[in-house]
This record gives sequence, C-alpha cells and structure tokens, in this order.
Amino acid sequence: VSSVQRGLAASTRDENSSLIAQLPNNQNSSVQQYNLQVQQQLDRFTSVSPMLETRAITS
Amino acid sequence: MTWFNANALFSARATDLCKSSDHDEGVAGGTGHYNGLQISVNRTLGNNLLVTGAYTYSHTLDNSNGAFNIGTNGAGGRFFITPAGPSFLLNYGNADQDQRQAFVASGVYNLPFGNGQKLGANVSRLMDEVLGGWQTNAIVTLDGGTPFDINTSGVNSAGIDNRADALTFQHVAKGFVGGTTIANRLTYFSGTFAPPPTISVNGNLVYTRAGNVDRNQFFGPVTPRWTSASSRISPSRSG
Repeated sequence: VSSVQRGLAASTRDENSSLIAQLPNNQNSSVQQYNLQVQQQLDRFTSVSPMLETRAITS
Repeated sequence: MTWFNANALFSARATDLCKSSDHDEGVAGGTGHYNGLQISVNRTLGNNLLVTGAYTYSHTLDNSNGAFNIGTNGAGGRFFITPAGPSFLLNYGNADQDQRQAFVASGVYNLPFGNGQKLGANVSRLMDEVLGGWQTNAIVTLDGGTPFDINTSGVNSAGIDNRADALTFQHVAKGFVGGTTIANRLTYFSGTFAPPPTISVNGNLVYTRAGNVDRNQFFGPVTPRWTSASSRISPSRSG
C-alpha cells in the first residue's frame, strides 16, 4: 500500500476506492487434529462411545 | 487469513497517505483451538427400535473472526487495533463458533408390517412389497447459546472499532422487547456499556486500550431449540 501511495502526487491520492493487500511473507495455513475415541459394549443392546478431540488451526 | 482495515492504521498514525474507507489488509496470523468431549450412546429397544443420544461439550477459541472465515466483510470489525498495529493477542478469546453444549437424540423405528413382523406376517409377496420394509425416524437437537460481541463504533474516519467496557450487567427474566424496529425479540440481560478511553494523536482520536469485555464474552440464551423434529416414512429394504 505504501509503495503505491508514495508514487502519487498529493492531488491524485487515492480516495474512496477499494484496495486489498496481502503480505508477501504470509505463513502457510495448517491444521492439527487429534481424536481419541473408545467404545464399550455395555450389554447386548447398548453401547457407549466417548471421544476427546483437540484441534489447532493457523490461518 | 485475518482481514482488517489497513486504513485504520494510517489514520491511527495520523498520516495523510490514504483517506479511503475501504483498504483491507490480510495477515496469515490467525490461530484457533478447539477442545471437545463427545459421548454417544446407542441402544436397541426390542426388534424394531434403535435410539441414539449424543452430547458434546466443547470450547472453541481463536484470535480473530477470520481464523475460520475468509473474506473481507467486516474487515477491522470486532478486531481491536492498537495505535502500534493489529494485536492478535488482545483479540484471543471465545470464537464465533463457540457453542459450548449440543445434544442430539434420534430414533429409527421399523414399522411392524410385513413378513417377519407382528402385523401382516402372512400377506402375499405383492402385499409385503407394499406394506413391509418401512421405517420412521425422528431427530431432536438441543443447542446451547451462541456467543456474541458488544462493540463500540469507530472514533475516527477509518472506523477503528473496539470492544466495549462493561459498567453493569445482570441477567433478567426472559421477555419480549417491544416498540422498536426489532420488536418482539427476546431479551434476557440488561447492562450498561461505554467506550474505552481515547487519546488524540495528531488530531485523530484512537482508543488507548481494548475494552474490558472479552471477545465473544456473552452468550445467547440456553433455550432448548428443537432445530429438527421430523418423522418420515421411507422404504428400508428392496426385493
């Protein structure tokens, strides 16, 4: 943004326009997810299944 | 990707480089964390009914509403920017998706018609094709409240917004709000809020700190919501 702006005379500076910028050294996105799940058959007719889940995201 | 209003920084630093109101800058600096415990129970009742219950308790945190969402809508919105620049640490808190509790129950019932069932066990093959093999099911979902922010509006032309300071807060009995443009919406708490203090930097007002309200500190009412309660009949077997 700054380099573009510096090239403009004061009278032609950008006003009320739309501009999108992204840093060139942006990091890559990543996801880490861990699941731990067990299942117990309580009787012939019933089962229970607890699960722990943790997830970390960078974006 | 976390988007914020880059112009907010220019104004905060009191430069005259840019006076546009729509300069969005994206930074890949967002982080999010989810931790959850889920428990599900399955049980068959008799020969024809299977019921399932599943409960989830979880906590989702991130440092911007862009950690999970990509887009420029609301850039700078709900993301406190210090005079020195954007601070992800100050914006770490409950995520927009932080719905702490959820419960789902479902049941599948095979209707007792046709061969091998209590009713119509001796009907002809043609009648069995018509009457047999049908099932009905129902799903009930009960969700906890979803979080929301309480923000101030911007104090300068760039619209740097901020979380508010909470002065008073209390839960009240749920009741309908009337006489406004959003009449008949339920209210369940009352409070007074104020913008954080500001200082003037080269003629531009900027907030000196984030508000004392944490990100997404407030949650919607934990009213059980029957988001789905349906029953339908469909063929459950062929041939």
